[in-house]
Amino acid sequence: MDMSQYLDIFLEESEENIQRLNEGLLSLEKNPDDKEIINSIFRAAHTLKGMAASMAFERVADLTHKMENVLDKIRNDQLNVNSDIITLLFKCVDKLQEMIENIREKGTEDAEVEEIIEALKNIEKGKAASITEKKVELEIEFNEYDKDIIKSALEKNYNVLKINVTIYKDSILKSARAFLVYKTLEELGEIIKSVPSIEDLEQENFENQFYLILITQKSEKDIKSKIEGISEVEKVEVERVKIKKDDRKEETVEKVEENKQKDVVNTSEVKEEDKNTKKVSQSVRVDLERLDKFMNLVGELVIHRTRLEQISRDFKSQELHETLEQVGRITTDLQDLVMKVRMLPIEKVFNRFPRMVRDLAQELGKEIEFVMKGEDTELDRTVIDEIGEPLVHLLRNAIDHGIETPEERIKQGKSSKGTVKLVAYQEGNKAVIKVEDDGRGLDVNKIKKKANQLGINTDGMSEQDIRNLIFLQGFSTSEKVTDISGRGVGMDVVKTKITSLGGSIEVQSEVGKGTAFIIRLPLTLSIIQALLVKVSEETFAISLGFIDRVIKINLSEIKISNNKEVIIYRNNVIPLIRLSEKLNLMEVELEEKFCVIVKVGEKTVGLLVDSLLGQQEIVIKPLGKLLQKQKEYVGATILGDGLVTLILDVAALV
Amino acid sequence: MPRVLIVDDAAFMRMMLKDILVKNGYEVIGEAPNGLKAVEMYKQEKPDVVTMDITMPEMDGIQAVKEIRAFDPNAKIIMCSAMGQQAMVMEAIKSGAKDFIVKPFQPERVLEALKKVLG
Repeated sequence: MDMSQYLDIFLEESEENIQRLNEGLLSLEKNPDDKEIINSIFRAAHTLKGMAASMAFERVADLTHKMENVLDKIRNDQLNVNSDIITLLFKCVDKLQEMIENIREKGTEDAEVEEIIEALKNIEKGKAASITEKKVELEIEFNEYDKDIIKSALEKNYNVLKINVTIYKDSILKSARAFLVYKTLEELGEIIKSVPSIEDLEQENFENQFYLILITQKSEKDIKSKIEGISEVEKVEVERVKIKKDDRKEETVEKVEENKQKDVVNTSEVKEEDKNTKKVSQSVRVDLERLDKFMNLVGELVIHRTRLEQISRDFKSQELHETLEQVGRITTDLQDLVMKVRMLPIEKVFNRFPRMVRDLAQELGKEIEFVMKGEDTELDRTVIDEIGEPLVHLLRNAIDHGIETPEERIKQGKSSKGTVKLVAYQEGNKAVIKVEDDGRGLDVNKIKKKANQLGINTDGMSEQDIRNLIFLQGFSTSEKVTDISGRGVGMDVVKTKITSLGGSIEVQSEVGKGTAFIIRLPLTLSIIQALLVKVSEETFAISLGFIDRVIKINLSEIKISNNKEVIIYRNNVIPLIRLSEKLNLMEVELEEKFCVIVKVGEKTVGLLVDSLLGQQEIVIKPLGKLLQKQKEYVGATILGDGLVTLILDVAALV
Repeated sequence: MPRVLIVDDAAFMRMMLKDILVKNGYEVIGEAPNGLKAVEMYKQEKPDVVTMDITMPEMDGIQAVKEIRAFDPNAKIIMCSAMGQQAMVMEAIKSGAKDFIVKPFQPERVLEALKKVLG
């Protein structure tokens, strides 16, 4: 059976499932005991396995099969979720992604999976035998202070033990019971942390379980038997607490445990099954090319309608006019509809960020709470395709430069965990995307200093103006260049990209409080407002998004500087590009011409044109294959009078 | 056979406890109706373990724990508390009580506490 016809759908669904795996693992890391999450990860891996096996992609099938085994163990409480397992599973997902990419590009999986499969097997075998009990729900979070204490205790060869105590559910005077445990442990060492807090324990704000972290010279066994010597204690688990030197993540190993009552009742199991049946919206997959074609046809329809309207005005026929009005309404609806069809939720871009933020935060030793909102905000897919990169940049900046290290944050009285927010919403006919952090903010003085080094005079500039300098080329105030950001190729690239999408970006910041970048983007790119200009005999369209202003100049005002033509406008020297020259057209001798001042990123350039024809809404249509290599144009449009007009690619011209 | 001293101002409670203990292989070497008497009997009898009520006339259980522990730092005392006596139980624990049981007594809980305290 020829399976190649299914390849497209296989690839697409595989990516969806990989995404589901990524998301699932991220939330599993936060809620290691949530059965529903494990089930959904399991399902994604399972689906992937089935599809890959049908398509005879054996390595994908094999890897997902091994993942399934591990996940199954977790699901059946035979394996505890720890950060090692999560990291390994993430690696598997990366590997799957790589293989899917290879399949897409080369048609074969083409990747080494043996090593990772071996690691999966080890986890499956090694730990399954020794760890049988389900991990307790409470999680201990160590702050930097705790970590320091733990570290120095470990250095002095003390034992740092995490003691998980469960008392009988029907115990009376639970807080006194907890106090008894507390008191007993206090005689054996120093208790540095308790979850829930001592106050909560005393006020009986807990179920029947709590953790204590004890620094002691006694062994796990001693501690365990002491606590077991207290009545109405159902279960005691003692684990060593270890702190990794590199990423300071706490990890617990070496369990000493024993249970008297293994039948921990799992009544929630049934309920959780119900949640599995998520609502699936009905949809049809459509090839993007067809949609583009559809959009084009509708665009064409709009153009011809405009022409028809012009003709009908000339004929002054009432009947024709009325019919045309109907046609007009329908075409407008059609246009709206097809535009909406092309829109995609920005989720498509956003959903890879949680993983990225997690990895970055780990790498940089920062604690970050990543919040995303408005993932369902819809944008034209052209924008969706392009906006990812600038957002990655902004997020990296926020994590690397914005958010301080946990130590620094605590020193400043903030919580050790920094917050990075990525918010999208619609505002009129623009989509707004905000990247916010509650980090150290932009230091205006630092920017000033840097500006002065670059020879920019900041006298008389407002603080906001100074902040905006970061969008200049070669501007980075970071003292050290890290792997992640700070090479000075940052913000100007971001700005240029966003401008080329017809959007704008602004920055708001307060020292010590944080920074916010606000991006505004048009909802759609295929219909734009444009200025029509005439150069020689030709008409061109320039997107209004780029245009700063238009001025009338006398040719005698053109000066030469560094062998290049410039104009001086409001004391600014602006390089001039004669479009006729650039586009190899006849130069028309005129005394007065127009200079269209355009801004691309931070570059300001004047485009010299012969005359202006006015502003109009135009539908961008791609150039045919023959003309595609013409980099001066982004496309063409047909005007109401049937004239085909080229649309200048301003970013490429300047 | 472990030797137990029962301290409670209510004869009813003493009887109940005694029943439970005797049936399960403990020897009740004495009963005290208040703290004062309890301290006195402890010094004479040196029991292996004491069950100590909290609210009693003459001398309450907490004070009795303190005095017994002052006399014998290794004394094993189990508090008998009623519901809602959280703070007093904690006070007793601070004073050196090893464990506590809550009224109304459930035989298995009482026995568990005794077994554990005696090791």
